[in-house]
Amino acid sequence: MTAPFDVAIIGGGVNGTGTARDCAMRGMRTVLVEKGDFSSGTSWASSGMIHGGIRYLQYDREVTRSSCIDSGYIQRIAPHLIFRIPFLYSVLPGDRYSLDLMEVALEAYDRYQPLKGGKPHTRLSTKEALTIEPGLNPDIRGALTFDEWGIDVPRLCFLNALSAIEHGAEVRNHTEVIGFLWDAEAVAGLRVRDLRSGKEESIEARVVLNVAGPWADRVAQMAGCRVPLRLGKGIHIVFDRRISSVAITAEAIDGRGIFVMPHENWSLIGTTDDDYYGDPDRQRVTRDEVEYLLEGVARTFPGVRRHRMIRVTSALRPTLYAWGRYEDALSRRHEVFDHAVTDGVEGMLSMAGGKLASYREMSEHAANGIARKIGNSSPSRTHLEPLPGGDGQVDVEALAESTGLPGFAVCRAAYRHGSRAAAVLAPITEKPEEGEEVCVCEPVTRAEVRHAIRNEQASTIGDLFFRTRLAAGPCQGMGCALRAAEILADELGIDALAAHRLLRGFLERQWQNRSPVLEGDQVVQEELLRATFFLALGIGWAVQGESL
Amino acid sequence: MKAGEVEADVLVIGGGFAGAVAALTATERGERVTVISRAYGATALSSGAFDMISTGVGEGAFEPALLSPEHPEIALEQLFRRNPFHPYAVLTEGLGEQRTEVLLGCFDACGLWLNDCLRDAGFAAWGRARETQAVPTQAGTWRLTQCSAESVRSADFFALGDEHLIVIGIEGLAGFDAAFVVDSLRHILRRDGGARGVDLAKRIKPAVIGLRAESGLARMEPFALASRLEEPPVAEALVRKLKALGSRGGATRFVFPPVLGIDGHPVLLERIRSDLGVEAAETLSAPPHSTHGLRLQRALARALESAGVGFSPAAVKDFDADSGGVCSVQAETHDGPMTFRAKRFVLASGSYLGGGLKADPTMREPLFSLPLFVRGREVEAVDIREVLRPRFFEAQPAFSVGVRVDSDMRPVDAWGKVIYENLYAAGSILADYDPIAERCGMGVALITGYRAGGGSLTDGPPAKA
Repeated sequence: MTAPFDVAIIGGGVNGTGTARDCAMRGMRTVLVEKGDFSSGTSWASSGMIHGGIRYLQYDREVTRSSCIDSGYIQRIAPHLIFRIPFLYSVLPGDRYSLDLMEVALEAYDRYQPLKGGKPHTRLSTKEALTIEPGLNPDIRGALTFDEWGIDVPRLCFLNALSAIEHGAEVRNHTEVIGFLWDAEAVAGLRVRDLRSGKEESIEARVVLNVAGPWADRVAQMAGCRVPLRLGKGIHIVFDRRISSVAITAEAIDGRGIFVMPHENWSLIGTTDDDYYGDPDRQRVTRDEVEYLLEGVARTFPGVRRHRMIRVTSALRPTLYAWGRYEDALSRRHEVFDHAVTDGVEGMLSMAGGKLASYREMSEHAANGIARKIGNSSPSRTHLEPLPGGDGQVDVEALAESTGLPGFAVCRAAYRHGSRAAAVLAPITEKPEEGEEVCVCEPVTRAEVRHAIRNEQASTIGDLFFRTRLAAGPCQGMGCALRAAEILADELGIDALAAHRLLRGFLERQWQNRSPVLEGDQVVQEELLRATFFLALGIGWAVQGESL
Repeated sequence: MKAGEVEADVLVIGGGFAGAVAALTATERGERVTVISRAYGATALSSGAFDMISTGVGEGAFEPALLSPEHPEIALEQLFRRNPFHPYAVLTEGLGEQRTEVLLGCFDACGLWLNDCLRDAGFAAWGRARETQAVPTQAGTWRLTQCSAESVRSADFFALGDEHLIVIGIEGLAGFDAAFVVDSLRHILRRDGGARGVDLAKRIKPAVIGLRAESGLARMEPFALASRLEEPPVAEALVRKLKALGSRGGATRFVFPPVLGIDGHPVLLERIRSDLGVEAAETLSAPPHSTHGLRLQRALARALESAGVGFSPAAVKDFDADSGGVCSVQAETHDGPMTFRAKRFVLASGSYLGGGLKADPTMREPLFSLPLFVRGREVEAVDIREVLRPRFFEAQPAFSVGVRVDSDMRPVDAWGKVIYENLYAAGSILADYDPIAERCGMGVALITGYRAGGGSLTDGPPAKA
């Protein structure tokens, strides 16, 4: 008797969804489970770049080369989802690398740029650099430019999941692995629990792939295996708007390279890289981490402290284990573990390491490993077939005309949905109220929120944030979280009290992301947000007996 | 008095609820008062509820309000034991066992008096400290409070008889989903409302009317719609559409989103009552479109004007003081810098929202550099992130930081010594209470504003002439 699935994938990050897509496209019967939402772990909190990895040039040219090739593929399969980010590398007196030395590195990098459609570097005088970016420290000795690509990672993950679904896979978020099924000494599937309903069930599969990122070792241990990892914590600071025209690199106090970068409607400062020994589910961002980044960026971009920080992102890199190296010097290579070889357990593979920009290639490697186990000989086609929405252009003006939406709102929807944007926004033509901007900051229309719930497996406000960037703006959900909960109630058929619970859960989780950078104008916003939910909406308040 | 100078007996810094109450109190005591206000603050964003104190709701603390009456006297007694620095405790120091009674009485007396001041200015609220109200919100919760705007109080669960309620949705109106509101109100009624609740749940229904064409609004934002509804043809259309509903549903009371006019809301509410023979109520309002707050703020301005209080839109920049206390403040007005001299100064500049406190990231009081306190301790040069607690839905020390005062409302230092003999503070700039999580912001603003304006807790407010 054969199991209903060829492969069961644990983890809905970029590697899990990428591998699910690859397997499904090769005709394997595929199922994926993710305990949170797609991309909600390490993928989401990455820098959101499909870069070539210039920093890896100095010790791992192969990583740079393969990243650049893959970056080129991603531009072809998801052209709507990527955006060019020009970088300014400026040098201050006392910096670790001089302009000349960096230019040598960039000349080397230029050789890889054509692989990813990037422009060659240029060298700028101090005056030219200050013209492009007036906020730079006027003491800079000049600057170099180089070219990278940015991407909306949650969309990338979901589009991989959606493509997998369209190729026949079953993909479930909010579903946690609680154990394994065994056939003698071999893994034969998963025991899973739906975290919303509490319902448990068995999923039989011929092979299990563990791509649970920072949780990979914990998952492997449930099957008596190990995935040797050295977790590296990385945080980003998020600003309410784009605070510079281009991305700017800077040097942190320890000489590490960091950056401030415009990304969609935000700017990000990133990133830290620190060994992490705690519970992956209980990361807390510290003031030291925030100050480390601000201090480093302020040296090159002095105005940074005047801008408004709205939140942080934080995640753990599932880096391959190595002793005796600084965090920064750890390889970004990835590895597929066959636990039959490493632990004597048949039927289970794990993959760890790597970086966002190489996800497609990594997924191909993992799928190759699975294919070998089950005797599937189809080649990978993930670099050839476009992701959903990546197969055509959108006429933004015509869509603005037919929906009556502002051009900016249409542009954002077209960015997220590519050629499928017209279908997502189509209900507005019949019912203008579906064009209401539920989230005014981003903006996100009611039609798109409904689409995410109906067709994109969004069942919490957090899921809607990942699908649409609802509540990503400076008000942090004050204006839209209740409306999102109401639409969820309407679409999912849950009662109002359950919708209130979704609302409280979202606010509670977002507080963890807001509080590490709460200061200045954002304190005013936070006070208003509290007043809105406690006093005006009566969603919940503290108990009297609790002391201040 | 020189050009560019204003002289008054009392100068109030801050034109929100606490500042306006202080100004009105001092005026009625025969003093010449001037209010300086930089901009609208928290009052203009307030919900329409005037809370005195929350008794807490036990195990269901993080569920929407449980529908049982609160006992403010128990809450106050717990509070006096738990937090001796709370403004209610500080105000009533030395009153011994009477302190609870005095505070409850003061809330009611001040409330009545203020209502008299505001009624002519076009705003009315209703409530008593010992009579809990449960009023609906835009999220469909029943929110417990002691006092609320008159239209809100008209939907108080505890005061409703055998009413048939229709919650009116307006097509395309952002932030108000009538079906959701009704579903939520019904669930809470059935779960927490006892036999009366179960009964009322059967008699509450949603209905949606369209006003897009009549209002001429492409985007149905609450303030825009509220303004349009003051125009007779739009009000006419509303009444016409309601008539169609009323005859169908047998409704005795309509519950609207808070959009029935801004300054003209009493007229529109009265029109609905008289034309339809049906009571009209509104839910509380939520930022950023807090209609009740905007109405209150505008009515306060009119009340100050008719009481003869001077009003200056200005931002305080600096001050002068000598051994007798504060002599003057310098402020930036539309006509350039001005000096304001007074015998007494009342600082009612609010918390972070009003600009009375800053956290950049060190917490400070920007006008007089007054020392700040929380939990009875001074917080000197402390980063706000050091006083954050791990959960959103709990009281936050960071939002309880403020100025510590003596029982006359004068800011004091860590040793309890008055800093400036003639400087008083009121409202949310005060230390050691979380106006949001403890649900007592309006009550503290009312009583401390009254006290800082020179009112006596035991004598009761001056009778309105």
